[in-house]
Amino acid sequence: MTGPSLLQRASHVIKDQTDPHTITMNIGRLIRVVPRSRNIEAILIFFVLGLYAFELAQVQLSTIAKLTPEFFMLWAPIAVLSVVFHVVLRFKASEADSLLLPIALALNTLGIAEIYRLDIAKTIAGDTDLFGFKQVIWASVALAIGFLVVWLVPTHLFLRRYVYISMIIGVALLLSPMLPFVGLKINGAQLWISVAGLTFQPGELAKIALTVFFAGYLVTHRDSLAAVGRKVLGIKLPQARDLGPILMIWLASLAILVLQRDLGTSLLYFGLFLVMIYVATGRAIYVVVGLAVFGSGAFLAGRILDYVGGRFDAWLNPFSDLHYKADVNSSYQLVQGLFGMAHGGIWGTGLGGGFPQMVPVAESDFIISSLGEELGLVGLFAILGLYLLLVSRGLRIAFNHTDDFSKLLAIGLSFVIALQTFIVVGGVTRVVPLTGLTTPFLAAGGSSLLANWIIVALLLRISDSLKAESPKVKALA
Amino acid sequence: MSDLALFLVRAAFVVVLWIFIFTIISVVRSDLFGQKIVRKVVKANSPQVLSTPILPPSAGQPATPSVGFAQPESKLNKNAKPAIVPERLLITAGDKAGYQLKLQNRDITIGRAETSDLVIDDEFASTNHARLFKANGVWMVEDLKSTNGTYLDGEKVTAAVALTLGSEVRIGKTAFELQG
Repeated sequence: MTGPSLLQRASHVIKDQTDPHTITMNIGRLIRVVPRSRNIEAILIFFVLGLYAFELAQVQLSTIAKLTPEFFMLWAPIAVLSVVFHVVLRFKASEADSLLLPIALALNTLGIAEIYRLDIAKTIAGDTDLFGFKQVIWASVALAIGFLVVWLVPTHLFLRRYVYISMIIGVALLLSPMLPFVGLKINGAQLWISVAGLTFQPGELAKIALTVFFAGYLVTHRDSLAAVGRKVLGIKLPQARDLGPILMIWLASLAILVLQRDLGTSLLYFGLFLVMIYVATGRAIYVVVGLAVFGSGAFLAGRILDYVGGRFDAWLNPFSDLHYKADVNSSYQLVQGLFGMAHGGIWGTGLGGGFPQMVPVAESDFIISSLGEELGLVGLFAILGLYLLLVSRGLRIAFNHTDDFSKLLAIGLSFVIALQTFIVVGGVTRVVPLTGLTTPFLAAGGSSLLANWIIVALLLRISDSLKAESPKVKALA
Repeated sequence: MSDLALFLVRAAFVVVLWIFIFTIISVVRSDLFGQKIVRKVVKANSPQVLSTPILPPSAGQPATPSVGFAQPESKLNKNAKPAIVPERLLITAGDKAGYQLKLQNRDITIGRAETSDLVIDDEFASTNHARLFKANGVWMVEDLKSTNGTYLDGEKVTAAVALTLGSEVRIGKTAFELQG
């Protein structure tokens, strides 16, 4: 049989119009195909690298009006390593999600371009504290570790064997900034450690360890958390002993708030736990109760502790002289960021066209306001869109997986990126109080890049393991 | 650079950035809503449809899959051979509609049990509901004494019956068929 004739086509067009049943059938059945093709990934990576070159060229042309060799020094390492990452995926995880790598790469390179742009402004002003090349080095290291994780770790399921070890590592990392000598306090928040001149934010790696712990713990205990318990006032309350760990996490997050003086970090870990317990048990009561106790705890802390209260005040009344010119908990940075974004407006000043350097620490905490000024609301929405797509891919991987541990792990890893982005962007745009967390993939800082690329590598690993589900129902590529 | 050139470069960047995002969205879209699939099963009665193009099908006649489903441009259709070996199982109705399962040389168990090859989450399905197996190169369906029965093209399956391409097996709300 060769191609159908025109008559044949005409025949079913007519059929379409006469029989409503056939019309619906003719639309064609939809089939869920997970786009796992590595070729899509390759095309998107080249797109991102082109976009990156465009960004760098735009920055150089609009600030120093010429292209310098720095362009290639910034571009080439990332280009080489992302291609290597792609090749590793082809050989070691050919069924992995094809969108995670390009999206994360797009965010990371946009961050580097903006940091480099701030560097140029600083150099003109005579400042020598530059971050652009450091960020390229860190991004290269993070990409290398990312593909090494994909390469060397055959399956993410080995993590299930180290559930409690993960907990210990996670808690130790969280508490390490409070150690004497190595602990470091920046802007009032004690979130860093400093060893031999290198500063590191251990909380970033702790989020991976704690996600592994939560996933492993909840897989074992979900049944008793979901089903057992007495009914009080029509609500089934969990058993006291099941609640124990939840109370422990709550206390730990409050301890972070009090001891490390950072609302964002404690909100991040507590929120992560709430979401994972909700996904594991399907009971909204945990979320309601959890938010209530966290809210009241944070409120009390704000009332009792000066520095937390001061942050709240600076958030609520940033434009008052009292806070704008204050020495401690000043709202100067926040307000400068807001002015910057207002200057950018909807369309932005273009990369290299604004004055993002006027915001203190614009390259890390306030990279969002820098990008908001130079790319405008249009660009900021594009960035948030990239985060949304990244997180939705993670949730999709979780949704497709049949194994509960993998499901919870993927949910946790992608949600932690979502929540962190919300807390940071919310802090810069004055939706929530400003915190010391970093913007995933964008902000200058090695620990953050490292942790987030490991998260991407783990998600790639998890998505690749879907192919091993055969012969269970799965979409054919 | 002149202001105009800079403005054009900036505008172009925003456009390219959004093109990137929409490229990703289009890939995601094909994941969420699926791609169009094409029926390549040509049933014996399809010429009837061709020979009576103007007449609407009578109401009593079941809507049989016909050549009309095939997209004329489809490559698959051109390559269609007279005798097609079933290669996959396509779920056509129910919660998992659209999913497909690759057929291998081994039995496929169907039911609510999580260990089934094809897990059907359906009130009308039994734990071990039915089984597909290959005998002498022909795929057969067998009901495993299920409560609500298995139906092949509307008829209850009592003993093992051979499956032909495109004939519909129905279990509760779920229906599937074999495709080449």
